[in-house]
Amino acid sequence: MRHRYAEAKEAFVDEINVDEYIELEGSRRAYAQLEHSLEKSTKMVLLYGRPGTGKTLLLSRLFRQYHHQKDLHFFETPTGSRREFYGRLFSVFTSKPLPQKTQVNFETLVEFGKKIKEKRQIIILVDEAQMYPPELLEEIRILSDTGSIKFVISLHKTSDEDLVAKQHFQSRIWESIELNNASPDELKAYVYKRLFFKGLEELATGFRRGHFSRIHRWTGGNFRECNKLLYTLFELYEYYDQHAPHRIEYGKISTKLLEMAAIKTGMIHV
Amino acid sequence: MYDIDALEQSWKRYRRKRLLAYGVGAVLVLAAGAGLLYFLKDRITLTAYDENRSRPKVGEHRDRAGASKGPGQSVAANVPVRSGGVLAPTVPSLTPSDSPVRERPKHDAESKEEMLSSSSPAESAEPKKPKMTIIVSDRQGHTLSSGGSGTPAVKLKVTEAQNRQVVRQIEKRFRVTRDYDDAIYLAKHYYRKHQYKKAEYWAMQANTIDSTQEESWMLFGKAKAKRGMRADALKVLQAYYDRTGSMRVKDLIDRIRKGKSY
Repeated sequence: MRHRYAEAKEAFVDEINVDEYIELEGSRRAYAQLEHSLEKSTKMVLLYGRPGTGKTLLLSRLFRQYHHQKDLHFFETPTGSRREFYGRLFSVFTSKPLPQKTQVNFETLVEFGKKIKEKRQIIILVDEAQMYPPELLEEIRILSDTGSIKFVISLHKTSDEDLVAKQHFQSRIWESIELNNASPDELKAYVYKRLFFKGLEELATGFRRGHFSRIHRWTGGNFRECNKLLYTLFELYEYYDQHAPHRIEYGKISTKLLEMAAIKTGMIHV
Repeated sequence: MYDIDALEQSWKRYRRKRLLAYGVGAVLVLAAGAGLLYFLKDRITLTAYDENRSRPKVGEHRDRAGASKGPGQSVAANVPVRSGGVLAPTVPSLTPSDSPVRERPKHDAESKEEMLSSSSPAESAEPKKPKMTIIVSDRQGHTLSSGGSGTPAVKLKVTEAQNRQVVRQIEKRFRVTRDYDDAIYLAKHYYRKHQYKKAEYWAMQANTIDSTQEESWMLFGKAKAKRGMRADALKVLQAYYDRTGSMRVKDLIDRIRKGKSY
Protein backbone atom coordinates (compact mmCIF):
# COMPACT_ATOMS: atom_id res chain seq x y z
CA MET A 1 0.00 0.00 0.00
CA ARG A 2 1.36 3.39 -0.99
CA HIS A 3 1.89 5.65 1.95
CA ARG A 4 -0.13 8.84 2.15
CA TYR A 5 2.88 11.09 2.74
CA ALA A 6 4.92 9.44 -0.01
CA GLU A 7 2.91 11.34 -2.62
CA ALA A 8 3.57 14.59 -0.86
CA LYS A 9 7.25 13.79 -0.64
CA GLU A 10 7.44 13.10 -4.35
CA ALA A 11 5.81 16.40 -5.13
CA PHE A 12 9.04 18.01 -3.99
CA VAL A 13 11.56 15.80 -5.71
CA ASP A 14 13.98 18.23 -7.29
CA GLU A 15 13.83 17.29 -10.95
CA ILE A 16 13.15 19.11 -14.16
CA ASN A 17 9.66 18.13 -15.12
CA VAL A 18 8.16 20.44 -17.68
CA ASP A 19 4.80 18.76 -17.29
CA GLU A 20 4.67 19.99 -13.73
CA TYR A 21 5.88 23.44 -14.54
CA ILE A 22 4.44 25.91 -12.06
CA GLU A 23 3.91 29.33 -13.41
CA LEU A 24 4.56 32.07 -10.94
CA GLU A 25 4.64 35.77 -11.54
CA GLY A 26 8.44 36.05 -11.73
CA SER A 27 8.92 33.07 -14.00
CA ARG A 28 5.96 34.05 -16.19
CA ARG A 29 7.55 37.43 -16.83
CA ALA A 30 10.94 35.90 -17.58
CA TYR A 31 9.40 33.38 -19.95
CA ALA A 32 7.53 36.09 -21.82
CA GLN A 33 10.81 37.98 -22.22
CA LEU A 34 12.53 34.85 -23.49
CA GLU A 35 9.78 34.20 -26.03
CA HIS A 36 9.99 37.76 -27.21
CA SER A 37 13.79 37.61 -27.52
CA LEU A 38 13.52 34.57 -29.81
CA GLU A 39 11.70 36.72 -32.33
CA LYS A 40 14.21 39.52 -32.23
CA SER A 41 17.44 39.56 -34.20
CA THR A 42 19.58 39.43 -31.12
CA LYS A 43 22.85 37.52 -31.18
CA MET A 44 22.90 36.47 -27.58
CA VAL A 45 20.44 36.34 -24.74
CA LEU A 46 21.66 35.96 -21.19
CA LEU A 47 19.41 34.28 -18.67
CA TYR A 48 20.88 34.50 -15.19
CA GLY A 49 19.87 33.96 -11.61
CA ARG A 50 20.94 32.24 -8.45
CA PRO A 51 21.00 28.43 -8.44
CA GLY A 52 17.55 27.00 -7.95
CA THR A 53 15.61 29.91 -9.39
CA GLY A 54 14.28 27.83 -12.30
CA LYS A 55 16.55 28.71 -15.22
CA THR A 56 16.86 25.15 -16.52
CA LEU A 57 13.14 24.56 -16.20
CA LEU A 58 12.45 27.74 -18.11
CA LEU A 59 14.81 26.77 -20.93
CA SER A 60 13.33 23.26 -21.00
CA ARG A 61 9.86 24.66 -21.30
CA LEU A 62 10.95 27.03 -24.06
CA PHE A 63 12.61 24.20 -25.93
CA ARG A 64 9.60 21.97 -25.55
CA GLN A 65 7.25 24.62 -26.82
CA TYR A 66 9.26 25.88 -29.80
CA HIS A 67 11.55 23.09 -31.00
CA HIS A 68 9.07 22.02 -33.65
CA GLN A 69 8.47 25.53 -34.88
CA LYS A 70 11.99 26.88 -34.87
CA ASP A 71 15.53 25.66 -35.49
CA LEU A 72 15.92 25.35 -31.76
CA HIS A 73 18.46 23.20 -29.93
CA PHE A 74 19.08 22.69 -26.24
CA PHE A 75 22.53 21.97 -24.82
CA GLU A 76 21.23 20.88 -21.44
CA THR A 77 24.37 19.48 -19.91
CA PRO A 78 27.71 21.23 -20.19
CA THR A 79 30.25 19.56 -22.41
CA GLY A 80 33.51 18.43 -20.97
CA SER A 81 35.61 19.47 -23.91
CA ARG A 82 35.70 21.74 -26.91
CA ARG A 83 35.61 18.70 -29.19
CA GLU A 84 32.37 17.54 -27.69
CA PHE A 85 30.85 21.00 -27.97
CA TYR A 86 31.84 21.33 -31.61
CA GLY A 87 30.55 17.81 -32.21
CA ARG A 88 27.18 18.98 -30.96
CA LEU A 89 27.35 22.05 -33.15
CA PHE A 90 28.21 19.84 -36.09
CA SER A 91 25.10 17.80 -35.39
CA VAL A 92 23.05 20.99 -35.24
CA PHE A 93 24.39 22.19 -38.59
CA THR A 94 24.28 18.89 -40.44
CA SER A 95 21.71 16.92 -38.48
CA LYS A 96 24.28 14.12 -38.37
CA PRO A 97 26.50 12.94 -35.57
CA LEU A 98 30.15 13.78 -35.72
CA PRO A 99 32.03 10.83 -37.20
CA GLN A 100 34.39 8.94 -34.94
CA LYS A 101 37.99 10.05 -34.84
CA THR A 102 37.25 13.35 -36.55
CA GLN A 103 37.66 16.87 -35.32
CA VAL A 104 35.74 20.02 -36.14
CA ASN A 105 37.80 22.98 -37.16
CA PHE A 106 36.54 26.18 -35.49
CA GLU A 107 37.36 28.35 -38.50
CA THR A 108 35.37 26.01 -40.70
CA LEU A 109 32.43 26.30 -38.35
CA VAL A 110 32.57 30.09 -38.48
CA GLU A 111 32.71 30.03 -42.26
CA PHE A 112 29.82 27.60 -42.36
CA GLY A 113 27.85 29.85 -40.06
CA LYS A 114 28.40 32.81 -42.35
CA LYS A 115 27.28 30.76 -45.36
CA ILE A 116 23.99 29.68 -43.88
CA LYS A 117 23.18 33.13 -42.49
CA GLU A 118 20.50 33.84 -45.07
CA LYS A 119 19.06 30.32 -45.01
CA ARG A 120 18.82 29.37 -41.36
CA GLN A 121 18.36 31.07 -38.02
CA ILE A 122 19.65 28.58 -35.51
CA ILE A 123 18.87 29.11 -31.83
CA ILE A 124 20.93 27.23 -29.28
CA LEU A 125 19.95 27.15 -25.64
CA VAL A 126 23.06 26.65 -23.49
CA ASP A 127 22.43 25.74 -19.89
CA GLU A 128 25.01 25.99 -17.11
CA ALA A 129 27.28 28.09 -19.25
CA GLN A 130 29.42 28.99 -16.27
CA MET A 131 30.86 25.50 -16.53
CA TYR A 132 32.30 26.08 -19.99
CA PRO A 133 35.95 27.07 -20.21
CA PRO A 134 36.58 30.74 -20.96
CA GLU A 135 38.11 29.96 -24.37
CA LEU A 136 34.98 28.18 -25.42
CA LEU A 137 32.83 31.06 -24.25
CA GLU A 138 34.97 33.35 -26.39
CA GLU A 139 34.43 31.07 -29.39
CA ILE A 140 30.67 31.05 -28.72
CA ARG A 141 30.81 34.81 -28.91
CA ILE A 142 32.63 34.67 -32.24
CA LEU A 143 30.12 32.16 -33.58
CA SER A 144 27.24 34.44 -32.56
CA ASP A 145 28.87 37.16 -34.64
CA THR A 146 28.24 35.15 -37.81
CA GLY A 147 24.58 36.16 -37.48
CA SER A 148 23.29 32.68 -38.20
CA ILE A 149 23.39 31.34 -34.63
CA LYS A 150 21.64 32.87 -31.68
CA PHE A 151 22.73 31.69 -28.26
CA VAL A 152 20.50 31.77 -25.22
CA ILE A 153 22.93 31.32 -22.38
CA SER A 154 21.96 30.42 -18.87
CA LEU A 155 24.38 31.42 -16.12
CA HIS A 156 24.46 31.19 -12.37
CA LYS A 157 24.51 34.55 -10.79
CA THR A 158 27.51 34.78 -8.55
CA SER A 159 30.06 37.51 -8.38
CA ASP A 160 32.63 35.48 -10.32
CA GLU A 161 30.17 34.28 -12.89
CA ASP A 162 28.92 37.80 -13.41
CA LEU A 163 32.47 38.67 -14.28
CA VAL A 164 32.58 35.83 -16.80
CA ALA A 165 29.43 37.12 -18.39
CA LYS A 166 30.72 40.63 -18.51
CA GLN A 167 34.10 39.73 -19.90
CA HIS A 168 32.92 37.49 -22.67
CA PHE A 169 29.48 38.60 -23.59
CA GLN A 170 28.90 42.14 -22.52
CA SER A 171 29.27 43.67 -25.96
CA ARG A 172 27.27 40.91 -27.63
CA ILE A 173 24.40 40.57 -25.20
CA TRP A 174 21.33 42.29 -26.47
CA GLU A 175 18.92 40.85 -24.03
CA SER A 176 19.49 40.10 -20.39
CA ILE A 177 16.89 38.33 -18.27
CA GLU A 178 17.24 37.83 -14.55
CA LEU A 179 15.40 35.22 -12.54
CA ASN A 180 15.00 36.06 -8.89
CA ASN A 181 14.17 33.97 -5.86
CA ALA A 182 10.51 33.71 -5.03
CA SER A 183 8.71 36.16 -2.83
CA PRO A 184 6.85 34.73 0.20
CA ASP A 185 3.58 34.80 -1.72
CA GLU A 186 5.14 33.11 -4.73
CA LEU A 187 6.64 30.46 -2.53
CA LYS A 188 3.28 29.84 -0.95
CA ALA A 189 1.69 29.53 -4.40
CA TYR A 190 4.49 27.18 -5.43
CA VAL A 191 3.96 24.86 -2.46
CA TYR A 192 0.20 24.86 -2.93
CA LYS A 193 0.43 24.11 -6.63
CA ARG A 194 2.96 21.37 -6.13
CA LEU A 195 0.64 19.62 -3.69
CA PHE A 196 -2.45 20.32 -5.77
CA PHE A 197 -0.82 18.62 -8.74
CA LYS A 198 -0.67 15.49 -6.63
CA GLY A 199 -4.22 15.91 -5.40
CA LEU A 200 -3.11 16.69 -1.85
CA GLU A 201 -5.27 19.72 -1.20
CA GLU A 202 -5.83 18.70 2.40
CA LEU A 203 -2.12 18.74 3.11
CA ALA A 204 -1.65 22.00 1.26
CA THR A 205 -4.24 23.71 3.40
CA GLY A 206 -2.56 22.30 6.51
CA PHE A 207 0.19 24.91 6.18
CA ARG A 208 -0.31 28.08 8.15
CA ARG A 209 0.88 31.55 7.21
CA GLY A 210 3.67 31.37 9.76
CA HIS A 211 4.95 28.22 8.11
CA PHE A 212 5.44 30.00 4.80
CA SER A 213 7.22 32.85 6.54
CA ARG A 214 9.59 30.34 8.08
CA ILE A 215 10.08 28.44 4.84
CA HIS A 216 10.84 31.66 3.02
CA ARG A 217 13.23 32.79 5.72
CA TRP A 218 15.11 29.52 5.75
CA THR A 219 15.23 28.97 2.00
CA GLY A 220 15.57 32.58 0.92
CA GLY A 221 12.78 31.94 -1.58
CA ASN A 222 14.92 29.46 -3.49
CA PHE A 223 12.85 26.74 -5.12
CA ARG A 224 15.54 24.10 -4.89
CA GLU A 225 16.01 24.73 -1.18
CA CYS A 226 12.27 24.75 -0.71
CA ASN A 227 11.99 21.40 -2.46
CA LYS A 228 14.72 20.00 -0.24
CA LEU A 229 13.05 21.24 2.92
CA LEU A 230 9.56 20.03 2.07
CA TYR A 231 10.81 16.71 0.81
CA THR A 232 12.51 16.20 4.18
CA LEU A 233 9.40 17.39 6.00
CA PHE A 234 7.17 14.82 4.35
CA GLU A 235 9.79 12.17 4.79
CA LEU A 236 9.65 12.87 8.53
CA TYR A 237 5.87 12.72 8.38
CA GLU A 238 6.14 9.41 6.60
CA TYR A 239 8.34 8.08 9.36
CA TYR A 240 6.03 9.24 12.15
CA ASP A 241 3.01 7.98 10.28
CA GLN A 242 4.55 4.54 10.21
CA HIS A 243 6.13 4.40 13.65
CA ALA A 244 4.30 6.87 15.88
CA PRO A 245 1.09 7.94 14.19
CA HIS A 246 -0.34 9.32 17.45
CA ARG A 247 2.30 12.04 17.37
CA ILE A 248 1.11 13.64 14.14
CA GLU A 249 -2.18 14.98 12.93
CA TYR A 250 -3.05 14.47 9.30
CA GLY A 251 -4.13 17.63 7.55
CA LYS A 252 -2.14 19.86 9.86
CA ILE A 253 1.49 20.71 9.37
CA SER A 254 3.44 20.72 12.60
CA THR A 255 5.85 23.56 13.21
CA LYS A 256 8.01 21.18 15.18
CA LEU A 257 8.42 18.83 12.23
CA LEU A 258 9.05 21.76 9.92
CA GLU A 259 11.81 22.94 12.23
CA MET A 260 13.19 19.43 12.46
CA ALA A 261 13.29 19.27 8.66
CA ALA A 262 15.13 22.59 8.59
CA ILE A 263 17.62 21.27 11.14
CA LYS A 264 18.09 18.12 9.11
CA THR A 265 18.70 20.01 5.87
CA GLY A 266 21.12 22.39 7.58
CA MET A 267 18.93 25.45 7.21
CA ILE A 268 18.83 25.82 10.98
CA HIS A 269 22.06 25.50 12.86
CA VAL A 270 21.69 24.19 16.37
CA MET B 1 15.83 6.85 7.39
CA TYR B 2 16.97 9.51 9.76
CA ASP B 3 18.01 9.07 13.33
CA ILE B 4 14.80 10.57 14.64
CA ASP B 5 15.86 10.55 18.30
CA ALA B 6 18.97 12.55 17.54
CA LEU B 7 16.96 14.89 15.38
CA GLU B 8 14.42 15.42 18.12
CA GLN B 9 17.19 16.15 20.59
CA SER B 10 18.59 18.72 18.18
CA TRP B 11 15.15 20.24 17.85
CA LYS B 12 14.78 20.47 21.64
CA ARG B 13 18.13 22.25 21.83
CA TYR B 14 17.05 24.61 19.10
CA ARG B 15 13.76 25.24 20.89
CA ARG B 16 15.52 26.01 24.16
CA LYS B 17 17.88 28.41 22.47
CA ARG B 18 15.03 30.16 20.73
CA LEU B 19 12.97 30.48 23.91
CA LEU B 20 16.00 31.86 25.68
CA ALA B 21 16.51 34.36 22.90
CA TYR B 22 12.86 35.39 23.11
CA GLY B 23 13.14 35.72 26.89
CA VAL B 24 16.22 37.89 26.66
CA GLY B 25 14.57 39.94 23.96
CA ALA B 26 11.45 40.42 26.05
CA VAL B 27 13.49 41.48 29.07
CA LEU B 28 15.44 43.98 26.96
CA VAL B 29 12.26 45.40 25.48
CA LEU B 30 10.68 45.72 28.92
CA ALA B 31 13.80 47.36 30.30
CA ALA B 32 13.90 49.79 27.40
CA GLY B 33 10.20 50.53 27.87
CA ALA B 34 10.63 51.12 31.58
CA GLY B 35 13.61 53.36 30.94
CA LEU B 36 11.69 55.35 28.39
CA LEU B 37 8.73 55.66 30.72
CA TYR B 38 10.96 56.83 33.54
CA PHE B 39 12.64 59.35 31.27
CA LEU B 40 9.34 60.66 29.94
CA LYS B 41 7.80 60.81 33.40
CA ASP B 42 10.64 62.98 34.63
CA ARG B 43 10.34 65.25 31.66
CA ILE B 44 6.58 65.62 32.02
CA THR B 45 6.87 66.42 35.73
CA LEU B 46 9.59 68.96 35.09
CA THR B 47 7.59 70.61 32.34
CA ALA B 48 4.50 70.78 34.50
CA TYR B 49 6.55 72.16 37.35
CA ASP B 50 8.06 74.82 35.13
CA GLU B 51 4.69 75.77 33.74
CA ASN B 52 3.27 75.96 37.20
CA ARG B 53 6.05 78.17 38.43
CA SER B 54 5.39 80.63 35.63
CA ARG B 55 1.60 80.42 35.64
CA PRO B 56 0.24 79.44 39.04
CA LYS B 57 -3.43 78.61 39.00
CA VAL B 58 -4.21 77.13 42.33
CA GLY B 59 -7.81 77.44 43.33
CA GLU B 60 -9.72 76.14 46.24
CA HIS B 61 -13.33 76.24 47.12
CA ARG B 62 -14.16 76.60 50.73
CA ASP B 63 -17.44 77.24 52.23
CA ARG B 64 -16.18 79.42 55.01
CA ALA B 65 -19.60 80.82 55.78
CA GLY B 66 -20.27 77.41 57.21
CA ALA B 67 -23.97 77.60 56.54
CA SER B 68 -24.15 73.86 56.07
CA LYS B 69 -21.73 73.08 58.82
CA GLY B 70 -22.13 72.86 62.46
CA PRO B 71 -21.03 75.61 64.78
CA GLY B 72 -18.00 73.64 65.75
CA GLN B 73 -16.55 73.55 62.25
CA SER B 74 -14.48 76.14 60.60
CA VAL B 75 -12.63 76.65 57.38
CA ALA B 76 -9.30 75.84 58.86
CA ALA B 77 -10.65 72.55 60.11
CA ASN B 78 -10.79 71.43 56.49
CA VAL B 79 -7.08 71.93 56.09
CA PRO B 80 -5.33 68.91 57.46
CA VAL B 81 -1.90 69.56 58.85
CA ARG B 82 0.79 67.03 59.26
CA SER B 83 3.38 67.54 61.85
CA GLY B 84 6.33 67.02 59.51
CA GLY B 85 5.44 69.73 57.03
CA VAL B 86 5.39 73.45 57.11
CA LEU B 87 2.10 73.78 55.42
CA ALA B 88 -0.19 71.16 54.02
CA PRO B 89 -3.25 72.59 52.40
CA THR B 90 -5.36 69.93 50.77
CA VAL B 91 -6.76 70.94 47.43
CA PRO B 92 -9.03 68.18 46.20
CA SER B 93 -9.75 69.85 42.91
CA LEU B 94 -9.44 73.09 41.13
CA THR B 95 -12.40 75.33 40.69
CA PRO B 96 -12.61 76.84 37.21
CA SER B 97 -11.94 80.52 37.08
CA ASP B 98 -15.47 81.33 36.08
CA SER B 99 -16.76 79.96 39.34
CA PRO B 100 -18.19 82.61 41.66
CA VAL B 101 -15.94 81.38 44.44
CA ARG B 102 -12.94 82.59 42.48
CA GLU B 103 -14.33 86.11 42.68
CA ARG B 104 -13.67 86.36 46.41
CA PRO B 105 -11.07 88.87 47.55
CA LYS B 106 -7.49 87.87 47.98
CA HIS B 107 -7.51 88.07 51.73
CA ASP B 108 -9.43 84.83 51.83
CA ALA B 109 -7.67 81.72 53.15
CA GLU B 110 -7.48 80.53 49.58
CA SER B 111 -5.42 83.51 48.58
CA LYS B 112 -2.83 82.61 51.19
CA GLU B 113 -2.27 79.25 49.60
CA GLU B 114 -2.09 80.86 46.22
CA MET B 115 0.49 83.23 47.53
CA LEU B 116 2.40 80.37 49.07
CA SER B 117 2.39 78.42 45.90
CA SER B 118 3.15 81.19 43.46
CA SER B 119 5.11 84.34 43.20
CA SER B 120 2.83 86.20 40.81
CA PRO B 121 -0.76 86.30 42.03
CA ALA B 122 -1.77 88.50 39.13
CA GLU B 123 -1.53 85.53 36.85
CA SER B 124 -3.63 83.26 38.98
CA ALA B 125 -6.88 83.98 37.19
CA GLU B 126 -6.22 81.44 34.44
CA PRO B 127 -9.25 79.62 33.00
CA LYS B 128 -9.73 75.88 33.48
CA LYS B 129 -7.13 73.90 35.26
CA PRO B 130 -6.87 70.15 35.60
CA LYS B 131 -6.88 68.42 38.93
CA MET B 132 -3.57 68.77 40.59
CA THR B 133 -1.53 67.58 43.46
CA ILE B 134 0.15 70.11 45.65
CA ILE B 135 3.35 69.04 47.21
CA VAL B 136 4.71 71.10 50.04
CA SER B 137 8.14 70.45 51.41
CA ASP B 138 9.81 71.30 54.68
CA ARG B 139 13.44 72.03 55.35
CA GLN B 140 14.37 68.40 55.32
CA GLY B 141 12.79 67.95 51.93
CA HIS B 142 9.86 65.93 53.27
CA THR B 143 6.86 66.44 51.14
CA LEU B 144 3.14 66.27 51.59
CA SER B 145 0.85 65.78 48.68
CA SER B 146 -2.82 65.77 47.95
CA GLY B 147 -5.07 65.45 44.96
CA GLY B 148 -6.71 62.89 42.72
CA SER B 149 -4.78 59.77 41.89
CA GLY B 150 -6.14 59.27 38.42
CA THR B 151 -5.26 62.67 37.01
CA PRO B 152 -1.83 63.86 36.01
CA ALA B 153 -0.27 65.60 38.98
CA VAL B 154 1.04 69.11 38.79
CA LYS B 155 3.44 69.65 41.62
CA LEU B 156 3.93 72.83 43.52
CA LYS B 157 6.84 73.32 45.78
CA VAL B 158 6.88 75.95 48.49
CA THR B 159 10.15 76.84 50.01
CA GLU B 160 10.69 77.97 53.52
CA ALA B 161 11.96 81.34 52.39
CA GLN B 162 8.83 81.98 50.40
CA ASN B 163 6.75 80.91 53.39
CA ARG B 164 8.34 83.38 55.79
CA GLN B 165 7.92 86.17 53.30
CA VAL B 166 4.26 85.40 52.87
CA VAL B 167 3.66 85.18 56.60
CA ARG B 168 5.14 88.63 56.99
CA GLN B 169 2.89 89.91 54.24
CA ILE B 170 -0.18 88.43 55.90
CA GLU B 171 0.72 89.90 59.26
CA LYS B 172 1.14 93.26 57.62
CA ARG B 173 -2.10 92.92 55.77
CA PHE B 174 -4.02 91.85 58.85
CA ARG B 175 -3.62 95.29 60.42
CA VAL B 176 -5.73 96.67 57.63
CA THR B 177 -8.10 93.84 56.81
CA ARG B 178 -8.73 92.32 60.26
CA ASP B 179 -9.66 89.12 58.47
CA TYR B 180 -10.46 85.97 60.47
CA ASP B 181 -8.80 83.69 57.94
CA ASP B 182 -5.57 85.65 58.10
CA ALA B 183 -5.54 85.43 61.87
CA ILE B 184 -6.34 81.74 62.10
CA TYR B 185 -3.84 80.99 59.39
CA LEU B 186 -1.11 82.78 61.29
CA ALA B 187 -2.11 81.04 64.51
CA LYS B 188 -1.84 77.66 62.89
CA HIS B 189 1.39 78.60 61.22
CA TYR B 190 3.06 79.60 64.45
CA TYR B 191 1.62 76.63 66.30
CA ARG B 192 3.23 74.33 63.79
CA LYS B 193 6.45 76.22 64.21
CA HIS B 194 6.23 75.67 67.98
CA GLN B 195 6.04 79.41 68.52
CA TYR B 196 3.17 79.02 70.95
CA LYS B 197 3.13 82.53 72.26
CA LYS B 198 2.60 83.92 68.78
CA ALA B 199 0.12 81.13 68.04
CA GLU B 200 -1.83 82.09 71.17
CA TYR B 201 -1.79 85.72 70.14
CA TRP B 202 -3.12 85.04 66.65
CA ALA B 203 -5.71 82.57 67.91
CA MET B 204 -6.94 85.27 70.23
CA GLN B 205 -7.08 87.71 67.32
CA ALA B 206 -9.13 85.23 65.29
CA ASN B 207 -11.39 84.58 68.25
CA THR B 208 -11.92 88.27 68.70
CA ILE B 209 -13.08 88.57 65.12
CA ASP B 210 -15.31 85.51 65.19
CA SER B 211 -15.84 83.88 68.56
CA THR B 212 -18.12 81.19 67.13
CA GLN B 213 -15.29 79.42 65.36
CA GLU B 214 -14.19 76.30 67.22
CA GLU B 215 -10.81 76.28 65.59
CA SER B 216 -9.70 79.50 67.18
CA TRP B 217 -10.77 78.27 70.60
CA MET B 218 -8.98 75.01 70.24
CA LEU B 219 -5.82 76.61 68.92
CA PHE B 220 -5.82 79.10 71.73
CA GLY B 221 -6.26 76.35 74.29
CA LYS B 222 -3.61 74.13 72.77
CA ALA B 223 -1.09 76.98 72.49
CA LYS B 224 -1.74 77.96 76.07
CA ALA B 225 -1.32 74.40 77.28
CA LYS B 226 1.88 74.04 75.32
CA ARG B 227 3.23 77.09 77.05
CA GLY B 228 2.67 75.31 80.36
CA MET B 229 -0.51 77.04 81.32
CA ARG B 230 -2.65 73.96 81.34
CA ALA B 231 -5.10 75.23 83.94
CA ASP B 232 -5.80 78.36 81.94
CA ALA B 233 -6.14 76.34 78.80
CA LEU B 234 -8.59 73.92 80.41
CA LYS B 235 -10.58 76.78 81.83
CA VAL B 236 -11.01 78.44 78.45
CA LEU B 237 -11.81 75.20 76.65
CA GLN B 238 -14.25 74.11 79.34
CA ALA B 239 -16.08 77.42 78.98
CA TYR B 240 -16.39 76.87 75.24
CA TYR B 241 -17.49 73.27 75.75
CA ASP B 242 -20.14 74.28 78.23
CA ARG B 243 -21.51 76.69 75.72
CA THR B 244 -21.39 74.55 72.57
CA GLY B 245 -21.06 70.94 73.73
CA SER B 246 -18.44 70.33 71.03
CA MET B 247 -17.09 66.78 71.19
CA ARG B 248 -13.84 67.77 69.62
CA VAL B 249 -13.22 70.30 72.34
CA LYS B 250 -14.23 67.71 74.93
CA ASP B 251 -11.72 65.32 73.49
CA LEU B 252 -9.04 68.01 73.56
CA ILE B 253 -9.84 68.79 77.18
CA ASP B 254 -9.50 65.12 78.08
CA ARG B 255 -6.21 64.84 76.29
CA ILE B 256 -4.74 67.88 77.99
CA ARG B 257 -5.93 66.62 81.34
CA LYS B 258 -4.46 63.17 80.84
CA GLY B 259 -1.25 64.49 79.36
CA LYS B 260 -1.82 62.81 76.00
CA SER B 261 -0.57 64.24 72.73
CA TYR B 262 -2.77 66.71 70.91
